[in-house]
Amino acid sequence: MQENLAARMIVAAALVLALLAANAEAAAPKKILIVHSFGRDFAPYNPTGQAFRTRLTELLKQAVVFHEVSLDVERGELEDERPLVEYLLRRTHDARPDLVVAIANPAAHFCLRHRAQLFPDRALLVTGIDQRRLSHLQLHDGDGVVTADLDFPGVARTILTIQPDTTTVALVLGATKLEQYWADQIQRDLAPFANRLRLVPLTNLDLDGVRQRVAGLPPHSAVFYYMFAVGADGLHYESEQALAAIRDVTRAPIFGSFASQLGNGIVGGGLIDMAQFGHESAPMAVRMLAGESGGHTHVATQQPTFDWRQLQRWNLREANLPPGSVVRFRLPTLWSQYKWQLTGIGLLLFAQATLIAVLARSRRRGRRLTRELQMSEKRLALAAAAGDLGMWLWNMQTNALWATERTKEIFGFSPGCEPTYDMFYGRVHPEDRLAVDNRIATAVSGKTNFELQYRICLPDGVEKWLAACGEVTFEKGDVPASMAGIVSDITERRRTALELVHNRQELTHFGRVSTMGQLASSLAHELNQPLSAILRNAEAAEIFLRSDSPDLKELREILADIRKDDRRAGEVIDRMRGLLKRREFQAAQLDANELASEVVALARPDAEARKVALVLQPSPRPATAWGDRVQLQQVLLNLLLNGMDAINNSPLHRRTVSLQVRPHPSGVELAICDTGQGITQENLKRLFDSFFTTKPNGLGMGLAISQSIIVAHGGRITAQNNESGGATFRFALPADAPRGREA
Amino acid sequence: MSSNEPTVFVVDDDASFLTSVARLLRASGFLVRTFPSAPAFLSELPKDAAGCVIADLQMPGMTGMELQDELIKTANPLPIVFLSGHGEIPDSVRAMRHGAEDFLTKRAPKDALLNAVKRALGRNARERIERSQQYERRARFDILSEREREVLQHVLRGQLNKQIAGDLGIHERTVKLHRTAITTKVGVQSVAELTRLAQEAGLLGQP
Repeated sequence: MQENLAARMIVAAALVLALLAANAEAAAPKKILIVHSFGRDFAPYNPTGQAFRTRLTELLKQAVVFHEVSLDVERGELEDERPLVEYLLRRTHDARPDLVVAIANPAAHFCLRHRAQLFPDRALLVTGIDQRRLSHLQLHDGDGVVTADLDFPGVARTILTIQPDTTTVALVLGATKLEQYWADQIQRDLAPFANRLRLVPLTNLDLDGVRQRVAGLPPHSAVFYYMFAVGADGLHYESEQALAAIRDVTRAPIFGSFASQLGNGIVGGGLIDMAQFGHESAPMAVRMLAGESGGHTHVATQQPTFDWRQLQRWNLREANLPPGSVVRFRLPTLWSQYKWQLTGIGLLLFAQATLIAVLARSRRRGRRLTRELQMSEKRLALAAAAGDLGMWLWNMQTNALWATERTKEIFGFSPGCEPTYDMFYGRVHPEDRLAVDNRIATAVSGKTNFELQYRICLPDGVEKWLAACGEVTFEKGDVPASMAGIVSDITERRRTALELVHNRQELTHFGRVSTMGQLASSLAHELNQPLSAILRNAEAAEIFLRSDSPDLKELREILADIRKDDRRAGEVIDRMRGLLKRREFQAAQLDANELASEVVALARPDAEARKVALVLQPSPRPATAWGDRVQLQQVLLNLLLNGMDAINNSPLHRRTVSLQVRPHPSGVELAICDTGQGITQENLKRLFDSFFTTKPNGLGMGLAISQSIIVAHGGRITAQNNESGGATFRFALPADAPRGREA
Repeated sequence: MSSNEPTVFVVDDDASFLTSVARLLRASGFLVRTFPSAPAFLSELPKDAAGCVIADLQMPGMTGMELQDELIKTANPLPIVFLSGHGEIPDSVRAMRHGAEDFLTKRAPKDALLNAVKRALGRNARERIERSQQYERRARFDILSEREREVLQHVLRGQLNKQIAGDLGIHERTVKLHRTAITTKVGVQSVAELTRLAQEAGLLGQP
C-alpha cells in the first residue's frame, strides 16, 4: 500500500517535470544565424534574406531571433577571415545558433570552411545558389540547399526572339570577384551564339564608363545587365541604383535575369525571383529545426514577364513575345482617354457620309440637304473646337487627305491651303517617322486603333509634341480604305508635366537637405567618434612601434579596431549621402519595420543629445509597403524631429517620441506620437500649408513637403491631438503599387 | 596594484574611443582604468583614489558636467579633464569655472592630451599632500576636550582671559588652566603659533 503511493507520487512528479521541460523548450526562442555574402541592400540578393525572415517568422510556431552577419564581399574578399571567425565565436558562445543559413556562394563557402570550429553539430542551409555550383559544395547529410538554374543561353534566346535583328550584346557587370566570376561564366555559356551575337563585355568599368558605352551602342544592340554592385572605382551601388542610371542613357534595350530588375529598366524575359529563395528556404528551415534533413529544393524560373513601358520605348512588338508571356506596367491608352471624342467624331462622319449619299440620290431636296449638311459640318467643327482637336480623314487608297483648319494650324500650314498627306508626313520629326510608320502598319495588320505621341518640326524650327489617334475603315473585310482620326497639340501639357515633376524633385531634395541640416551637428558628432578613436589608436601604435620588441598582438588589435572604426565612419557617411543625393522618385516594395528602424537609428544621436526617449514600436506582423525609401525616410525623419521640437519644454519624464508601425486595411500605417503641448485648433487647419511655421527659425516647408511626398504615394498625413496630451501624425502606405504606378 | 597608485580614470560611453584613449595612455606609461558611464565609475571609485579623470562631455544618463558636480562633493576630488566631440564655448567656460583641469576636443593633439593628464596628475599629487598635511594639523586639535575647544575659539578671536571667563561663566583661573592644556596638547609655544596652526587646519571662523 505504502509502496504503491510512493510509486504514484514519483510518476506524478515525473509528469510535472516533463511538462515543465516541454514548456521551457517551447518558450526558448530559436536562434538563426544568417550569413550574407553581400551587404544587406545589394541587388540581386537583397530580397532573399528579407523574404526568409518574414516567411520563417510566419511559419514557426515560436519566437525566433535572427543574428545576421555579412562577408561584405562588395568591399573585397577578406584576406584574413580569422577576426570574423573570432567575432562569431564570441557572439555565438553563449547563444549558440540552432540553424545557420548562408546566402549565395561566398557565404556558403565561408560557412563550410569554418563549420568545424563555429558550429560543429549544427545543420547548414545554403540558399541562393546556381545549380551548377552545387557540386563544389561539400555539404553534410542533414544540410539543406536551395538552388536555381541561371539560364544565360535563355537570355540570349529571349533577346533574339524579341529583337530578331540584334547583332551586338553588351554585358554589364561590376568589378567584385564574384561579378567577374559571373562575367566569365556568362561568356562561356553564350559562346554557342558567337555566330549570331557579338558579346561586348562592359566589366571592370566604373558606372560612368558603363553609361558612356551603353549610350554609344550601335543600332541592333541589346544590353545584358546581370548585376552591378561595385564599380572599378570602388563605388558601391545598392538595390537597382546602377540599373536605373544605365536605363536613363542606354541606346539599346536592357535584358536581365532577376525579377527585381523588372520595373527598373529591363525589358523582361524568364526571370528568377530572388525572394523565392527566401520563401523556399523558410519551410526547409522549419524542418531542419525539427531535426529533419533539409534536402534540396529548386526555385523555378518565372514565366516570361515583360515591362510594357520598355516594349513601347524600344518599339518591340508584343506579337514577338514568347507564348504565355505576361506583360506588366501597362499605362492607360490614348484610345481609352479619347474614346468618347473618337466615337462622337466617327458618328458625325458617318452621318455626313449618309447625308452625302442621300444628297446624291435625291436632287429634289438638294437645297434643304445642302443646308443641313452645312449645319452638320458646323456641329462637327464645334465639337472639335471644344476639345481643341484637329480632325483628319485619310484616304489610304488615293492618299488624299481631308483635314480641318485646326489640324492645318497644328501642323503649321496657313489657313485655306490644301496640304497633301506627304506634306503632313514631311513635317513629322525624322526620328519619329519610323514609329509613325510602324504604328500605322500595326493598326492595319492588327486591325487595332492607331495611337501615338510624336514630334513634328515646323519650317521655322519650332518642335511640337502631338498626340494622335485614329481608326482604320476596311473594305471587303481586309482591304484598308481610310483612316479617320484626331490630333492635338500636347507640347504645353508635356512641358508642364515635366516641370511639375522637376519642381517636386527639387523641393523634396531641398527638404531633405534642410532636414539633414537639422541633424548635421549630431551626425558630425557621430562621425567624430570613430575618427577620434582612429587617431588615438594610430598614436598608440606609433609609440608601440618605437619599442625594441613591439607587442605584435596589440598592434594587430589596433589595426583591427582602426578598420572597424573606419567602417563605422563610412556607414555614417553612407547614410547621409543616401539622403542628400539628388534623385528621382524610385518606388519599390519595402519592409516598413525596417524603414522605421533605419530612421530611428538616424535620429537616435539627436534624441540622446536632447534627452528624448525615442521608442520604436514595429508591427508584429510583416509590414510590406510600396514607396520611395529615401523620400519616406525623409518624411519620417521630419516628423520625428518635429515631435522632438514639440517636447523641447516638457519635463524629463514626459519626453517621449514614438514611431509606430501597424497593419492597415490598405497596407501599413505609420504613426509618430509625441508627448508635447499638442497643436491648437487654429494651427491644426494650417499645419500643412507652405511657409506656415510655429518655430522661430523654421521655414515652414517641412510638413508641406512631407505631405506632398505622401500624396505622391497615394496617401495623406493627418494630425490630431492625443487625449493624454501631445500630438500624433499618421499616414498609410499601400502594400503594393497603385494601378499604373508601378515604377 | 594598490588603490592609491596614481591612475587615469577614463569615462566614455563610446567603447571604441574608450579603448583607443586607454591604449594611448598606457603606451605613454600611465596606469589606466576605463568605465563606460559616469555612474559605473562613481560606484567603483575607491575612497582614497589618486590620479585624475578623463571624461566625455556628452554621455547618456549622466553627463560629464554632472559627473564633475558629483566629484566636487567627495572628500577627495580628482581633477577632471573634459573631452568633447566638438568643443562648445559655453560648456568649456562652465567646466573651467568649476575647476576642470582642461577642456579638449577628442581630436586634440596628442601632446595637448598627455600634458593635460600630466598636469592633472601633478595637481592631484600636490592636493593630496596638502590635504594630508591639513589632516595631520587637524588631528593635533582633535585631542582637545569640548570645553578646551570653546576656550580656543575665544582665544583665536583675540579675547582676554577675563572676557572669556565672563562669556563662558567660569573662573578666570580655570581659563588659564585650559589655555596651558591647549598649548601643551597642540604642542606650540605661543598664541601667535597657535593662531597660525589653527588657520592652516581650517579652524578659524568655526563656532
